[in-house]
Amino acid sequence: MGVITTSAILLRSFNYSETSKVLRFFTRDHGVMAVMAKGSRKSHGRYGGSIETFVTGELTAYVRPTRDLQTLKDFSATRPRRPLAAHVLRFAGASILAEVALEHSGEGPAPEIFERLNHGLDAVEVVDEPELLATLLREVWGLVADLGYHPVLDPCVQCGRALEAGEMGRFDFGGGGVRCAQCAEDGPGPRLGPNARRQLRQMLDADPSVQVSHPRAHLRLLENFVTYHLAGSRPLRTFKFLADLLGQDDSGTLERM
Amino acid sequence: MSAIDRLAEDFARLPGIGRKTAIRLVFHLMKRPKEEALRLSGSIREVADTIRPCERCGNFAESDLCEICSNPGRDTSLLCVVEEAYDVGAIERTGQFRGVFHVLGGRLSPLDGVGPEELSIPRLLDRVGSDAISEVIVATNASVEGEATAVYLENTIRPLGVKVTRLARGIPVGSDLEYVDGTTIAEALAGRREM
Repeated sequence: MGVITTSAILLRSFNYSETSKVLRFFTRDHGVMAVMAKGSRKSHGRYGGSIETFVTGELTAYVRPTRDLQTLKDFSATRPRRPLAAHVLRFAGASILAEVALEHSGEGPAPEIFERLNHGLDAVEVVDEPELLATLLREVWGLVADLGYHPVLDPCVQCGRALEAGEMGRFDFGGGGVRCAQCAEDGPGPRLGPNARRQLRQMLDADPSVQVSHPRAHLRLLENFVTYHLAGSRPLRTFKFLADLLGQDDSGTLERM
Repeated sequence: MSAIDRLAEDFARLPGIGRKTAIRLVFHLMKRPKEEALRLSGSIREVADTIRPCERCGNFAESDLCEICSNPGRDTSLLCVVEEAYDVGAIERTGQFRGVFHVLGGRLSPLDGVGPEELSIPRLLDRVGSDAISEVIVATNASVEGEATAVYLENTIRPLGVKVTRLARGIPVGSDLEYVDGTTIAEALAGRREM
């Protein structure tokens, strides 16, 4: 049995027995890692309040390569994120980032994804409320792209022709990007106007100046893309949670943008 | 499978009981007088037959209303909201609370697919709107999920004109400050009160 120490973000926890918890971390050096935290449910336990969802810290664990569940030795929080709980929309947004990262479930070193996730949680925590949805969209698209699922916005994923500036395209989830007007006829997927394409490109480029019109329509596009490519067509629970909080009063589409 | 194995397997399904402990419990029962085992099985059957959720608060009850909701001596203007029915027992054991309860049946957890509709929040809002309640004490756990649930309840209940309070958080009684983690000390500092 070896001991490893790595930076880690706690994404999920389950109670196990009367005193322990199973924790799922996204770690910088080992991807997603599940550990048993013995005694962590006690109020006087050795970890106190440091083990909370979304916290970033230094994880030390006893590791056996043949096991899926490792044993926690120590965890020291370096970036508590309790303020995320003080605002339900921020909490929902952080949960989406967590679920997308967990769907990836890779076990190898993932420093870029770790930094992206860490940055995304920070951004969702501190951004001004009116910018929250746009920031969340930018951070989740960035995470999805870093996970290797960067959608192709130009040229057309079917014929390879470059889309013209004002051309109406269609987002083809199976094709992994946008089809041009000719290839889009009668095809599946939502229609995507030039402004929506530009905004999507800005989000994928992590452009902080992006102004997202119809953020809920963008959220639906992101949800459908993530569901298709990362979740094996199983709907992600966190997107539904956020959509329920936001209500159903948004009829905006990406076609008119 | 023998009767011993079946009982051990049933015990092992209970929280905190592993296979070895389950077998030890079975052998303990076999060593004791038969009446003890029959009394235990009778108690389990009685609980299974009679205990159900209280129609008003969701606590465990032996009839339509639990002992707390049917007690005329309780202060019904004071409503304490907890995540699970066993949290009612934890607060009752203090002997410091004379109000009534509402059991949510969990806490908001997007990753588990638990939203407001999966909890008994609509029934809570009905109670706050129809009963003469002056204060709602939110006693959800001090986790991120429990805190988010408390904030959601505050945002939903406060517009109804009812005072909403939250259990205090901080240093556990009897503990040394030196050994308390930074997050808890920060919460205690933020929630300090004038002496």
